[in-house]
Amino acid sequence: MKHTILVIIIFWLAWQTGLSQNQYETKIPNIRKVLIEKIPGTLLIEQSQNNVFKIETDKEPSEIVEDERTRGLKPVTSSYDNTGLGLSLVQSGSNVTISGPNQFDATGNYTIFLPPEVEVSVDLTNPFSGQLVEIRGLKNSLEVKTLSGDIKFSNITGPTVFHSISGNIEGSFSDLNQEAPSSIISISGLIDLAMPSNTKAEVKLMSVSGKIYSGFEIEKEKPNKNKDPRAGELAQISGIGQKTSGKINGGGTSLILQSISGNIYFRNK
Amino acid sequence: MKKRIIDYQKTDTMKCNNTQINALLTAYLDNALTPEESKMVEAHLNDCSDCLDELQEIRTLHLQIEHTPLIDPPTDAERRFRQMLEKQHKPQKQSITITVDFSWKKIAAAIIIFLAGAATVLLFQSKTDSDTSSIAHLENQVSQMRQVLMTALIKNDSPSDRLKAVQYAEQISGPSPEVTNILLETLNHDPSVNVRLAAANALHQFAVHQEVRTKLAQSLQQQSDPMLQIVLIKMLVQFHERSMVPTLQDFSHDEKTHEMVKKEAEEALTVLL
Repeated sequence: MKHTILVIIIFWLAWQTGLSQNQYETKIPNIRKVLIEKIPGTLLIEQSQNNVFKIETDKEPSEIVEDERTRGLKPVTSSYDNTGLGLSLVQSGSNVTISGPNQFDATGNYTIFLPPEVEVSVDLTNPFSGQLVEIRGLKNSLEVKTLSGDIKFSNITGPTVFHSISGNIEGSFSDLNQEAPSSIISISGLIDLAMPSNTKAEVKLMSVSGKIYSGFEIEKEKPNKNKDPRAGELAQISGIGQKTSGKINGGGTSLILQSISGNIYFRNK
Repeated sequence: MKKRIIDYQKTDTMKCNNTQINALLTAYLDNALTPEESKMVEAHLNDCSDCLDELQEIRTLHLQIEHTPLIDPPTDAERRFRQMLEKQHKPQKQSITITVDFSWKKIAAAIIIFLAGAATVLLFQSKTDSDTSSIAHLENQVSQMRQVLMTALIKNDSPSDRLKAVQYAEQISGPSPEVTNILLETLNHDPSVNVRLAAANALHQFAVHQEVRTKLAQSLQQQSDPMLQIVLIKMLVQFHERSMVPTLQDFSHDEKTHEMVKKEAEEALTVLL
């Protein structure tokens, strides 16, 4: 009896490890940009090394249906599975596209490991896309678009271009890349952003009906020279919507946080 | 006259180098020396034949002068002399006013000071002139560079690079219609809403121009992102742009319009109508 339980436990563990090792790995050098789109379930993106592109999933192998009829044929459309994990990975020139199937599937979680230096663009505006993308520790240039999916991140540096219609955008930067501007926009979701307290930036915070909170001391910029000839030397008091712009820590790269109805929380850590 | 003879002796006939004695020879002939000096000269003359010859010559000259008959000056000599004086008087006067040491120095000093001052002012002016012109030149170059960078970056794949391009466009001093057109193009066609929104904000400063406002109103029609719609409505309401009224009416009637955009459109309509 004891032996039977032990054997069962060993088998169960083996099965579990088998699951977690459900992965695909390839090395592709000289890639400039990675486009990730239509990923079902939740998506986690992490850093890899040495041009390694790695995909892991906790999906059960039985869930990944292999079409017998495709044997010996080369796929023509981009929406096919060449990783064995339900996703396709296609290289074209210096770009790599990783995309999911054109079908609704909310189960499973994918983790994609990407090499540093590549530009990352995640497009989850397709209705088949999952509801969460999380990015951990990437120093890459990032672009993320979602409809209702949330965007979470930690220890990133940007530059970031995030846009969500109704998803929340929240997370922390380990540093703010000064090479290019960063812009984060959510229409009705909230924006909760933490940055190191010594971050240098020229910030523009704007919300139409949401409230804006800042942990940073924002040095207000001098009002722009008014271009309205009638205004002459009068200072412009209000711009478009509720807008606060100015420098933090003496100014640096441009950082734009905008929402329509979501609140904006701009934290220093 | 005596001096001239002595000089003559010195240069031509004089071989003795005893200048002290030589200087005393004429005075010796005139008996104008002290007994000691006379003794000294006589002692020398005993030894030096050169000086003795010299003495002889001077004596002969003296005798010649004494035997020269006196001539009366012509009667009009004084008048001629005065005339001559008067002739010289005028140029002398002029030369005095110019060449008197004291005023010359003053004038020279004044001229030097004036020249120095003028030079400093000129130098300074030309320096600041060249500075401002070189700064303007630099600014112009920076603007041109920004425009080149902008036109290159705006076509870039990376949205952050395109954001940077829009930022450059904002910083170009005296932007050209070309820049405005690129911004409008970006506003209408950029795949990233973030970049389009940045372009809209950059275009805000050009919205004083009617043709830009018309194009912004046209752009409002095709924008689907609520944020862009709101930003454009707010911008155009500021300038009382009535050409967007039909679009606003469409927004307020369309069920698909974002709630906040609807509100914004209706508020704008109350202002414009």
